[in-house]
Amino acid sequence: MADLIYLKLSESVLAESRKITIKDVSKVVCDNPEMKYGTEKIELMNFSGTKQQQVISILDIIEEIKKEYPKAEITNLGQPEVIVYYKEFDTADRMKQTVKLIFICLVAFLGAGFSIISYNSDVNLVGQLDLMQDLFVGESETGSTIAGLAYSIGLFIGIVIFFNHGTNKKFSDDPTPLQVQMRQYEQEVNQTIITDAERKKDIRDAD
Amino acid sequence: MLIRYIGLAIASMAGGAVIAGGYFAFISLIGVFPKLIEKVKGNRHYMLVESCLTYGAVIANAIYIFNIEIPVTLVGLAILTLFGGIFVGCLIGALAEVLNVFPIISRRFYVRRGFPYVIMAVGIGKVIGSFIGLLAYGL
Repeated sequence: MADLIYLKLSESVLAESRKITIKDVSKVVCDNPEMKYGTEKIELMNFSGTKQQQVISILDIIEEIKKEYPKAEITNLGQPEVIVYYKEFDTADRMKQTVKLIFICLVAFLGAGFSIISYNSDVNLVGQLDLMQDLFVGESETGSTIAGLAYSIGLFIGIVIFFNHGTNKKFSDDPTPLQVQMRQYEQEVNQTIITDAERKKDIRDAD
Repeated sequence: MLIRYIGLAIASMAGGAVIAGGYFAFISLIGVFPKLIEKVKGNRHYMLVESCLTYGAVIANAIYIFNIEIPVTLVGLAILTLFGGIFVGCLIGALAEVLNVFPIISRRFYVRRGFPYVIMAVGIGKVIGSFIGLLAYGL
């Protein structure tokens, strides 16, 4: 009886070395432990030169396995294509990443402040708070300190509820809105890379 | 009298919470920061960026509402407005992208190649337009 090999291809992986084996891109399940080990060791490709990403199709992987085990029956339960990213690490990289992160934090901090002020002045918020003061308390009172204070606190509460955390500690295990957006964006990027690679025929596929 | 103040405080606080919800839903759905965080490897710093957004908005809001004067000199002001400009620029670009402007134009005019030039033109046009607009305001 033919041996069954189950594969579960990942969506995208970040490779640590130039040599990519099946173990890097997929989980392998097989009744025969020797065969499982042998399958995981099969080399798919080698990153050469400046190439930093490569789309590998499941058909290419099946072909490579068939060379080793011609009788094996292969079932893929994961993605039909996998994107392999390769990036060399160097020590200057950490520094660059930190600088970039500080820049993004500055854009977030000052940008959010800038835009909330532009929103406030756009809708004439101070005038509105004055009006509310008149309506609720009466014109004899001056200033709108209490309304302003309450509005500022309310703004803070609203943001914290929306982002689900105030500091680096989350209130519940739910992912935050930015996290969800980032995963969505990642999936869209992966899909674009796969489609592009298919159009340019820059994909490792069965011949 | 106290009850009126309490009513005013509750109304303002609720207003602040709703505006914050709507405003930050807009900022995070438009997807500026996912793309920026993507530039940093590992992208596990999203909570830090969210905290920066939170406190940036809260502090700036308090400064605006209470007219707090912070002497940061002209250089400080230039830095503040530079980052504000970067943020607004990202926001405008992301808005055009979310509304699918570029894909639609590309399909309508059958333009496939040279699209980077179109995007460059949009960017340069924006800068020039912003300058002319500010000059008209007498800046």
